[in-house]
Amino acid sequence: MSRIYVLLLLLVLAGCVPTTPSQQLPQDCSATASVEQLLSHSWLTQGGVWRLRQLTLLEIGPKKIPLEGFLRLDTANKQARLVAMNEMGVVLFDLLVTEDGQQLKRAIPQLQQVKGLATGVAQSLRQIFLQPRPAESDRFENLDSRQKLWRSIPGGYLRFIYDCHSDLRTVRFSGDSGDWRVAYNDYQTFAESRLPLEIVMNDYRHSVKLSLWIREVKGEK
Amino acid sequence: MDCLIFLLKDNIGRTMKCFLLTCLFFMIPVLGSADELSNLLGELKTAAATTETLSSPFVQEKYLDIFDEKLLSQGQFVYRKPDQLRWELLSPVASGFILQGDKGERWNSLSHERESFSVKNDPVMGMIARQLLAWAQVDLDWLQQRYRMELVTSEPVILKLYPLDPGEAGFIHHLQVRFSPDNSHVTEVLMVEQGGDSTLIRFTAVKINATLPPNAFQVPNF
Repeated sequence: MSRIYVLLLLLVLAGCVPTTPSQQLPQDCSATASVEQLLSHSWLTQGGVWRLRQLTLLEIGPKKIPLEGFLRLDTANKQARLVAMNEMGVVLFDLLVTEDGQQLKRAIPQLQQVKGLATGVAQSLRQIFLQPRPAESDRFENLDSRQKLWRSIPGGYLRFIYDCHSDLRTVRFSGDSGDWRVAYNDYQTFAESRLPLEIVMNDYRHSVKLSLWIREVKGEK
Repeated sequence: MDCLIFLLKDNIGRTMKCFLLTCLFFMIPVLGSADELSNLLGELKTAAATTETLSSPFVQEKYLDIFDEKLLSQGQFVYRKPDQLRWELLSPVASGFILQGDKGERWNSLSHERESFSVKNDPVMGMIARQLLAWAQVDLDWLQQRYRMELVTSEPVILKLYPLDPGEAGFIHHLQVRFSPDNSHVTEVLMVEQGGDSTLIRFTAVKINATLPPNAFQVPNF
């Protein structure tokens, strides 16, 4: 009988944790890119400035918070500025994120009092858009239809998975300082760059899932 | 994080109140300058008394000052006397709420969640219901207690409203409402925020006293 209780408890707990969606990578092609080609192919390292209108679903445990966002991403200067709005278009906060810091430009009074808001959101944006990034010094593995760059980090590993189109599909970080994964899906071509229209980040340590659906893409000249 | 969630929802509720207030101008066919206003009050009440239903698609333009960027959304507004309302965004994400008497339901297709609420148990929605009643009953005393009004132009009628409530004034600089040439309905509502951002809602095809579909006040499937 105790096994049944344990099983039921596990089922209940599992229902409270945001799930990690499975990721389908193309299988009908061979990945042949070199490390240099992989690094130069990514829109995150090509030095462009992008204006992205996105829908966001933040899941913290069983709670779900839908938001709208507008992001200006400067990949050359490694800066991201996010304006988050509610469904009525009212700005909730305006946050500037750099590689190693963040600045809350403005927020509604209630959110200004929320400790850790800017830090937490900035950390997610940083992991999705700014860093860590793959490097030439990473170890390289060719796995038929996908390729992997990876390195050891304190307490674990950091790896980048590319599909056979040389699109970055997964960043997985598992170490002393964190346990998270970012999945990049549904790549489309914009101004000769390929951008993912769906991005899902799972922070396993904090039971947080952040899903982004990019609905409008503009390149800034 | 629970605090964050609560505050986000609370803010959304406050925003809904602001937008409801402005959008329920639908129920007021005409306003005027200070002198004209008193003459028009009788007409307002008479016109409101004849309004059984209102419906219109709307386009929402959010202007972000720091990016000099306009974000477009589209939706649908429906009202039926005395106390039924549907406020719905259709793009970029389906979301909205329906109010029927003292009960309502919100939905959002991103979270795939529906949330029932009662105005008795939810202070925010209670306030919304109060505003609905105020406008349905053409309670101009209540409106004038809440805003300082200016007449911008009389043809077409454009009113500028400055919030008197300090909490609302800390967020909204002013509202500007534009009426149709025959003053039969509102065509635009502009909300200018203190930070320079603004939201313009254009009602594109207003129908007054049209027959509403049977599911007008049912939560959509998604």
